[in-house]
Amino acid sequence: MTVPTERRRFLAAGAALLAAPAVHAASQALAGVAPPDGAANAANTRSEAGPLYLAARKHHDSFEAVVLDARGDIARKLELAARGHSVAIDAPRQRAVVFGRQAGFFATAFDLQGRQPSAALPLPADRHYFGHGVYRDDGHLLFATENDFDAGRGVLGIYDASPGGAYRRVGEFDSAGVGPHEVLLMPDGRTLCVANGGILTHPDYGKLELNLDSMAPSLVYLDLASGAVVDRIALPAHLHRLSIRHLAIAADGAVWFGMQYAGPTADQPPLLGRHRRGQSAAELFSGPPEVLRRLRNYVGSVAVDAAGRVVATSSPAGGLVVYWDADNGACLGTTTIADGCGVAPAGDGRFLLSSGEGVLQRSGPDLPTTGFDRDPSTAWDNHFRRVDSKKAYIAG
Amino acid sequence: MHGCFFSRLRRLASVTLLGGAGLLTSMTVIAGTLPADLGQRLADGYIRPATAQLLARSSSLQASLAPWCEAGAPAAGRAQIDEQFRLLLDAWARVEVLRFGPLVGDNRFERIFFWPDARGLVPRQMGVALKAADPAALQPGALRGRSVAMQGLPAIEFLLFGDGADALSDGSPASRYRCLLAAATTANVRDISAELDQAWSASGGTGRVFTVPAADNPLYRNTQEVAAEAFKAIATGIKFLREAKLAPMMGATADQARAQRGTFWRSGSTVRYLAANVRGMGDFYAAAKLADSYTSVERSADEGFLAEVGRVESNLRELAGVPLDAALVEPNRRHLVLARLIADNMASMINEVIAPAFGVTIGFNALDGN
Repeated sequence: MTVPTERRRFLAAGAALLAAPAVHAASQALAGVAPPDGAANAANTRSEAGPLYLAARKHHDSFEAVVLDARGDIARKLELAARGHSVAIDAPRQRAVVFGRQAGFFATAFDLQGRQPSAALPLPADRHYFGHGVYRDDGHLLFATENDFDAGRGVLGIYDASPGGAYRRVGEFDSAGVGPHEVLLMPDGRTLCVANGGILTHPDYGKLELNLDSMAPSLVYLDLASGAVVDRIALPAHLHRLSIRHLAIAADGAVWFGMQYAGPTADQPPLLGRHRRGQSAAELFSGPPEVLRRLRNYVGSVAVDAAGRVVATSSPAGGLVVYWDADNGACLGTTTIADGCGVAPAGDGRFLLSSGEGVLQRSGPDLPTTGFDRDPSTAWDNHFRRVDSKKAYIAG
Repeated sequence: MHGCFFSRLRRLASVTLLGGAGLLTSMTVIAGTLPADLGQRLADGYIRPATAQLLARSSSLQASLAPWCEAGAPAAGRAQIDEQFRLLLDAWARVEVLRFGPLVGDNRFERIFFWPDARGLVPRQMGVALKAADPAALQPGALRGRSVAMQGLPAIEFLLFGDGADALSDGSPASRYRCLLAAATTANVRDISAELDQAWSASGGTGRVFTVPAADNPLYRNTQEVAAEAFKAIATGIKFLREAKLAPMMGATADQARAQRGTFWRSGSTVRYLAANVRGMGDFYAAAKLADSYTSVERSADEGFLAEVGRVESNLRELAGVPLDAALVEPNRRHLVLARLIADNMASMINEVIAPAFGVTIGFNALDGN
């Protein structure tokens, strides 16, 4: 199947970018089946040349998951039945699973090099995906956040991702909370960290919050082998409407979490937290009042830079990305990007940002913003993920 | 897939309304000028009358219920109670649209309107409460600390119209308690309404900041932020109407329809309530009086949106007096299908035309939080 060449307009391309080889993989991309001649080689060349990224998007009227390089050139794409959200990435084995956006009724496993056909994960009729998942270090298991919606209970579905496992669903863990959203593997390789957003939903009513009065979000650590809760962190009672949703792990192993507030606009609680294993409570960081105000009580994505020293949080509602010092939670700067939500590491202190208006740009706390792509026919979804073989746990 | 079918129809509808797809692309370029007193217009023209009406009607129902219950809930007075309850629902249908400010604080929205009740908490908790018949629950202010499912309109509706309500006039102590609990719950709704009314008054917290945006205003720095709040409220109201009120009860096809998912189905108020709700959205929008604030290209959106509101409302009103079960199947169902399609178009108009016309964008990601 031939995919039309991407329509793109360069906003502020630097000299290096202009000098880059004009080999665009877009024309060689495919929809989850064996690559046309030459595509695999092109992909190999690119992965040696630089990191690959994964993201879900709407392109014209189609929903897709795409593999792209740091210049935004599309290496490969997978057509999706509905809007995607995030991806679980198994970098060593060059594969991933893209999840449907909440309430998601599909998850699709695919090979980053296009060597294998894509495959749908088996979802029980009484579950749906929340949009995130993570592989175990050895790639033999995959954990996905799911809703046991009739019981109003959060679970992690467990899938056999081993060779020949065909992603059979082999069990599930209770997430020890309602509405588990993002899940990460801790650097120890033995513990899962789950953001239980606390919001009860039922697919019959879309994303409608059914328990705003009694929300109880939590950050829960589960033993990966047994599913036992090894730690559970809650917020102070007056912040019970502060939904913990997105996660990233800094170089020192601390878990950073981004939150969304379902209470009155005027409250403006902190939207970023940090938890270190062993601490009884999380630390919360507000940043300067004007920055907090501009986040509009909403953080849609969290990422750390390649060095794990800078945390970036995005707010599509406020059109703002904020950078934070992972040592002390100090606000380091901001980047304005309308409907910006995707943030992914692009080097030390550098991030790649994406927006619902089709913009891709690089920025960071001490950097001028460099826009390098704007495709009005594309709306990038919440998450931009870097395929990083050294830090498998960063992707969730 | 029917999703594609609907979106195609929706697009057709947009083109018809706006006179051509070409218009859509120019919409975002030229920003209209918002009236400086936008917040004042919305507060005086809609919000304050709506909250005042909610307070007045909850007070009236409570004032009627208490003596009626004491008198043994005589059948002769029943029709008047029912009508007062429906008038209260009409009033709430208009306030429900204002899901920001005081309605979001202190769980007020859920306390008045715990709905949808996907897991049947209202009947379950009311069943327990009726069995316990605790006189303490009838004391002024006592319900405030109870579960939100017991505090609002769905609870009152269950007590007056739900299982067992047909025995309300039988003179038994159980029925007397049930009736008095409805009166106490109505008093609770009245008290929350009074808080809303106060918060939106000229001296109230939200009423003050919403009407006078300023650089030092903690919530609204300028008129555009007031507009963003208003457009978002309308967009949220339409989404709630389509996704929670219409789609689940209608089901994908008539044989999958479920009347018990209808809003206030127990009192047979569903279509009347939905019609009042969409009328509220239209009146809230109209209170901004934006017709002259658009650039000339976009002006048709103003009339167009209000016309769509009128169409949704009239399709729903066509079903007045039709039992909900019958409304959900043909030949009546087509009115609901049309109402939902036109509501789709209302959402597109707000998100893609009206809000952007004033420089307010509701983005792909921002629109649909995750």
